Parts: sequence; C-alpha cells; structure tokens
Amino acid sequence: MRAGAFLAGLRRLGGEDLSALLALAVFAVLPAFVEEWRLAEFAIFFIYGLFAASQMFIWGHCGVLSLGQAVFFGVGAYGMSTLTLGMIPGLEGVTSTWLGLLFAAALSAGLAFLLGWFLFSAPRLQGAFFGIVMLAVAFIAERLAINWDFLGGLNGLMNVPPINLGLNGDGAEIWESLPVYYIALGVLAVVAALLRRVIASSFGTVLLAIRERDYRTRALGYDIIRYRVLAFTLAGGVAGLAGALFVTQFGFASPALIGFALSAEVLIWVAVGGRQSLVAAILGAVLVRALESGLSAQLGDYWLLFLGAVFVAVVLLLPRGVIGEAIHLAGRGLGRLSSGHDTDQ
Amino acid sequence: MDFLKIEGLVRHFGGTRAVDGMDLSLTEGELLCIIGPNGCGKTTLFNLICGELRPQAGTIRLQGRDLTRLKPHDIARCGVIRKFQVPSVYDGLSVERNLRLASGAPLLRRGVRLDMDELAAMAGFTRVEMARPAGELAHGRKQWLEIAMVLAAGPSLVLLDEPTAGMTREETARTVRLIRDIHARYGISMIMIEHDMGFVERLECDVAVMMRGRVITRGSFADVRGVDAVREAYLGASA
Repeated sequence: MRAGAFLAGLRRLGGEDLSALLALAVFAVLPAFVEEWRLAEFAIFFIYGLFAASQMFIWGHCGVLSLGQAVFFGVGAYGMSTLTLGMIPGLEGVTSTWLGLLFAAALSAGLAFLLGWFLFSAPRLQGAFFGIVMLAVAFIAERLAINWDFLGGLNGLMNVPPINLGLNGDGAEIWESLPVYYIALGVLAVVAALLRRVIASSFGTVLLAIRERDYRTRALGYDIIRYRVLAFTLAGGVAGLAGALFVTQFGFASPALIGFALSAEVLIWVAVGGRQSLVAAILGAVLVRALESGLSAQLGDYWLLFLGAVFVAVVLLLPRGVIGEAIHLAGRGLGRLSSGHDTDQ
Repeated sequence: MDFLKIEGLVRHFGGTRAVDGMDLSLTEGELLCIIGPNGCGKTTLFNLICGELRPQAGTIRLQGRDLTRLKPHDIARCGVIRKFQVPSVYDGLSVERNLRLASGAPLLRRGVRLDMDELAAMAGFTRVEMARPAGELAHGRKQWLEIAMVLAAGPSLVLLDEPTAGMTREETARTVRLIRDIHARYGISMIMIEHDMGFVERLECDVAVMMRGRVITRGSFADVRGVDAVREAYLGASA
C-alpha cells in the first residue's frame, strides 16, 4: 500500500519532472566517477544544454522555428567578453562578472525584443519565412563579427576572464573544473526550473494555444504578437546568458559562436533530444555533445554525416525525439504501474 | 440605438465584389440568421466584423463604438467572439484546458459569465471527457466545444459561421436546441451564417438574405421564403 502511494506520488510528479530530478541526481554525483578533465567538458555541455533550453522554448513550446538562435548566444558571448575585458567605451573600469552576465542577457533579450517586434508584426512573415529571415540574420551577424575589428575580427576576443566572485572582477577566480562544473549545472537547473514554471503558467498556456491555432487565440482577444515577442525575448535572454557563461569557461569569443553553424547544431540537439520537453531538449544537447566528444576521434569527418543521418531519422521516425520518447514511455509505464496498485487497494 | 450597426460596408477582391455597400443592424439580444448562396459574401462579412479583413469603405459600430480600424484581438476584447466554420479547437489540449483558455480571454467587459460546470453541461461533456484531448472528439462535438469556448470567453456578440457544417441530422437538431437554449437563457446577441434551410426554419429567428454582397431582404423565415428573388436565387425550384 505504501509502495502504491509512493508510485501515485511519482505519477503526480509526472515523467518530465521525474526525469529532470533523476538527471540532476546523476550529474550531481558524476564528479565522483569521472576524471577531472571530463568535468570541464561536461560544464560546457551544460551551457549548451542551457542554449538548447532556449531553442526548445521558442521552437518546441511556441512553435516559432528560429534558424538563427545562435545570434543571441553569440551576442551574449561578445557582450560578456567586451565587458569583462574592460572594452566598453566609458566603462573600462567595470569588469564585474555579475554585471557582465546581466549585460549579456539584457543585450540578447533586447535584440530579440527588437527583432521579434519587427518580424512578428509583419503579417506575412509566418512559419518557414520567419525561420529563413532568422537564418539571414545569423549570416549577417557572423559577417559583422568577422569584419568588425572591435570584436577582434576572425580571431575573436581572447583571454576572456573566468567567473570572478568579486563585485568588480577583483575577487577569487573560479577556473578549477569541479566548481565550474557545479556552477554550470546549478545555473542550468535553476533556469530550466524557471522556464518549466513559465511553460506551466497561464502565459505558457496561451503560448501553447498560439502554437496550436494562432487565429483562434487571436479571436479570443489575446494579442498574439505581444505574446510571441515576449516569448522570443525570453528565449533570447536565456541564449545570451548561455553565451556569456560559455566564454567564462572557454576563454574566448569567436565568430563561430554567432553564426549559422551553431544555430543549426542547436536545432539538431533539440530535435534529437525532443523539442516538446525541456528536459529532453537539454539532455539532447548534453548527449549529442558527449557522443561527439567520444566518437569524433574515431569517426573523424564522418561524425557530421552520422549526426545528419540521426537527425533525419529522428525527425521522420521519432517526432518526440530520442529522449522525449523515452520519457514518454516511462511516464506511461509509471501511470500503468501506479493505477495497478490503486486497484489492488 | 442599435447594438450593432453596419453601414455602407465594401470589400472587393480584384473584380469580385464580395461585400458591396452592405447595411445591417442588430438590436441587443437579437438572434439573426444570414443566408445566401455560396460566394455571396457571408464569410467575408464575418472577417470584416472581426477585423481579419479591412473594409475599403463603410463603418461597423458596436454600441456606438467604431470597430472598423481596430485589430482583430481588440475587436474580440470589445466582446465580439466568433466561431469559425472549420472547428477550431486546440486538439493537443484537454477539453477542460480549451475551455479555461477561452474563459481566461482578456475581454474588456464580460457579456455573460458561465462557470466550468455550466459550460461542460451545456456542451454535454462528462468529467472523464473533460480531461481527454480535444483532438479525440468527433467532428460534431468539436463544434459544440468551440461554441462552449465562445461562450466561456464572455462575449456580448456571438458570430457563428455555419455551426452545423458537416453534422449529421441528429447533431444538427441538437445544435438547434443548443443555440436556442443559449439565446433564451443568456439573451446574447448572435449572428449566424447558415446554409441548412431546415436549421434556419427551426431556429425561428429573423433571417437576412444576402446576395451579391448585400442584404436584399430581411424578416421571418416565412416572409423571406415568399420573396421571389430568394426563391429564384437561393431556394431554387424545390422551394
């Protein structure tokens, strides 16, 4: 009977939250089992997971296919780099990690707001057209980063400082793998939990309604352009935060962080993981990157071919994504198991 | 003062005069059925009232307020809520979430106020069905769900675009009862586009006949069916 109550409790929690907690527990104890250099790698994967969360939110939940989400990641990366390197004209003395994170997220969110406002207001720029325009924006951003000397051109900006606990970059630097790992995991968990709350809120439900039938939602009085712009802004801000954290770990910002290639990659991670579920999308990013790190040595250039094939197979055969499908099946199994116990009582 | 007043409304598509100098008025709490042959401009009229299309001339006023230049969601917020011809519910969401989304609609002022139990009872949904995805409903029940959603939003003017399209005879009869019941109980102003003459007759409301973008005659079903132009153009030889 107690087992039944326990299972019923698990079922109430749902497959999604349960798998999130499980993944969090696994990652929390992982440092006890892997070598230290692996941890630094995983810390980067968690940042990619954060980036994937932003793509899942805008694409999976809101149904807006952004083919240029790396623009916001890259703007966050460059924003963080220029501020913590003391390059912002008039603010050379300000090198605070905290202000840098705020600046990067605000810059990306602000850009997303302006772009969203401009693009969503255009009545004919729906669906694939929006995606293509974002693709062009990513291309332009990449060219801009390459040709703008202030941003270091093709070489990018080097020697970006790591996370500094001081108020203005004058405190302890966090560069050891273990604390970096836990900071990345912690930020990912907190932001993912916040996004999960947004998705479950009434605001999130209206976004879902707009994805399902925009005209019906508009005809109920919801200002769907405003909702989309706000969602896009939020996704841009999260991507910007991911970009900012990325450069503190990676140490430099380059045009590769802002362009089309990374935009396409994040799309693949989210599709392979599962775009309808936040946990699945995040784990998709971590999984693909971990596989890439393990397999690209053996597969070499065939890795991209392999990844492309997996992407096509998932899109065709598993619309929920590999991890999304697993979570779905686990959730159903749990439901059956606990309802079975209920009838036993 | 008229509740809804449409004057000189014009909307042409290239050479096609979908709505061509149309006048129409509705008193508060009135139920009106608009009939007319295919392509006479009925759905275009709804699209103009709801702001999905901009008129080239003319005005639409609701309780004296000019709706003509407002955006679709602002018109909805004024209390004009529409049911689309193709059932437009949220297939992936449960029936209950569909209704909750509609009852959370940000209307400026609520015409009617119904709670979840009343809405469920009206459209005939059991507790179990309320938790099921709306996409699993049969066509006719999706139509009823959407009608319930329109009411859940708290409208002061309801527009129904062919609410019985694709329904069986039995479902159509139930829909007639549903609409008459809603109108009798809540006294909401309603305009309906219909094709099914049997349906129009049983509604026992005013009928406006639309042809070539205008209302050519208006009255009870019995009055309207006697007009020669209607017999020729719409009811055909069988009437």
